[in-house]
Amino acid sequence: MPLRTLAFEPTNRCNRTCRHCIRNRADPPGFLPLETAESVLSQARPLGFKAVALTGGEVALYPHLGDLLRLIAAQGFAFSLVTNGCRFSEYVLPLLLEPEVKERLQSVCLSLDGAGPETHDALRGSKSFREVIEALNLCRNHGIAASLKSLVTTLNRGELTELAFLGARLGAVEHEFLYPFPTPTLIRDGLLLSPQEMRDTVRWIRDNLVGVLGNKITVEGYSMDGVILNCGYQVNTLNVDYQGNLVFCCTLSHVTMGDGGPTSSGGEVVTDLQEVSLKEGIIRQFRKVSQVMEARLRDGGKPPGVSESPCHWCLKHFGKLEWLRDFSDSPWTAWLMD
Amino acid sequence: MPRYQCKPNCCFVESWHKESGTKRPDDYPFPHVFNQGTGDYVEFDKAGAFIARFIIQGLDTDFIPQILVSEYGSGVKNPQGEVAQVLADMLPFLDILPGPPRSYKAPAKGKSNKGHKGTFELNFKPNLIGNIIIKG
Repeated sequence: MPLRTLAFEPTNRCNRTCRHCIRNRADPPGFLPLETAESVLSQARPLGFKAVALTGGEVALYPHLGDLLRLIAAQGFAFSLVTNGCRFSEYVLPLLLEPEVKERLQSVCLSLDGAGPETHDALRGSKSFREVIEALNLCRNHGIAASLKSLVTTLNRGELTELAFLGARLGAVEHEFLYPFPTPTLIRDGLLLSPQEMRDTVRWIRDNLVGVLGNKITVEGYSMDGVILNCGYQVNTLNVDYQGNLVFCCTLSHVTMGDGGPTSSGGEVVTDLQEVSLKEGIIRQFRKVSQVMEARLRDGGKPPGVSESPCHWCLKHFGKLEWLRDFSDSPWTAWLMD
Repeated sequence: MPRYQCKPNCCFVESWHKESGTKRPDDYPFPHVFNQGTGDYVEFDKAGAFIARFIIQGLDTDFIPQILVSEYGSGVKNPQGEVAQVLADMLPFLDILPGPPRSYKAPAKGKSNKGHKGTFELNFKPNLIGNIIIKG
């Protein structure tokens, strides 16, 4: 699979404090320097990159969003962005509707974690349901393809059908149900299904929702297709964090360690793209892919949990799940750590 | 539930201005919907304008009570009733939004021919109906 996509984290700032978020809130706010983004983009085009994905943090809080979108469009990249709906109607949408920007826009991705405000806002905070529904509806009104991500928790497990129908009714072209990453908050608040419940739910989604509605429904972050072949992210996408680092995978970027302290980055940081060229960064990324793949092959499928979710395997490999040992009663600790 | 849009001569003014934030028209310093042809208008308070905003956006009206709850929480006592009230006030200014066009082309008259040789391999595996017809 060719290396085609750049994923930028323009900022780590977010207006919400979602209970499931894996990002480290103890980190000070930071913003990707526009000149760094411009430098990476200009190096990427001749290397064959075709698309840019903007993640976060919350992109609406990035002060140079308009300039960044115009840069991306001017250099001929297709792009998509992830947002929680913050400032969508008054700030993000007008930027997306600039003709040269809209021409390159592939999709807007929003998160919807409940079929109603009681469930969704319980996870993401008050007014979030309103922001997401409004953003989805405005996308539909303006002919912008929108997709949804829904994290499966104990809160919404009983309303997944309603959630899928809601997404389809609001015109979401794709709806991904997310396999959750354990976080201290999810475990403390009892929001995390047990591994077995999660497996059952994944199976239920596949049997009952996938292919039933007009939009595309998938389960992201889970695979039974084999130990090594169930993730190709690192060889088709390069992830640039808000500090200008090339990070091995977006899932590993500035992850909470459960200790309340700022992130102490480790092996997941491949290189600083403000110091080395993108070409050199790619070389180092593939060296790391080789090391990680070797470790994965030698590790086999034990403990069982890490072989079913490639993200869990990498989180563990890069030392991001050590905090789980403080939760010895959680079934996730045995599932992923023992 | 239906979705709505403004009638051709009608307009919803939320009294929000992109540059100045809270600027409102001098003569009509409140959110309102009006008909340019007749001069009729209905003004809204804050909650009414919030509901009207989503009606005008063409959102299915049965989602709006939930949005009201998301925005104002337990302060909303009768979300369905409040949405219905604002919708009733606005109806003279609204058309029902048509659903997306569904592509369908009426069948043309079948073209009759003669001389079918029937010599190609009969493989209707992907189509059980075809298989049954051939066997029959």
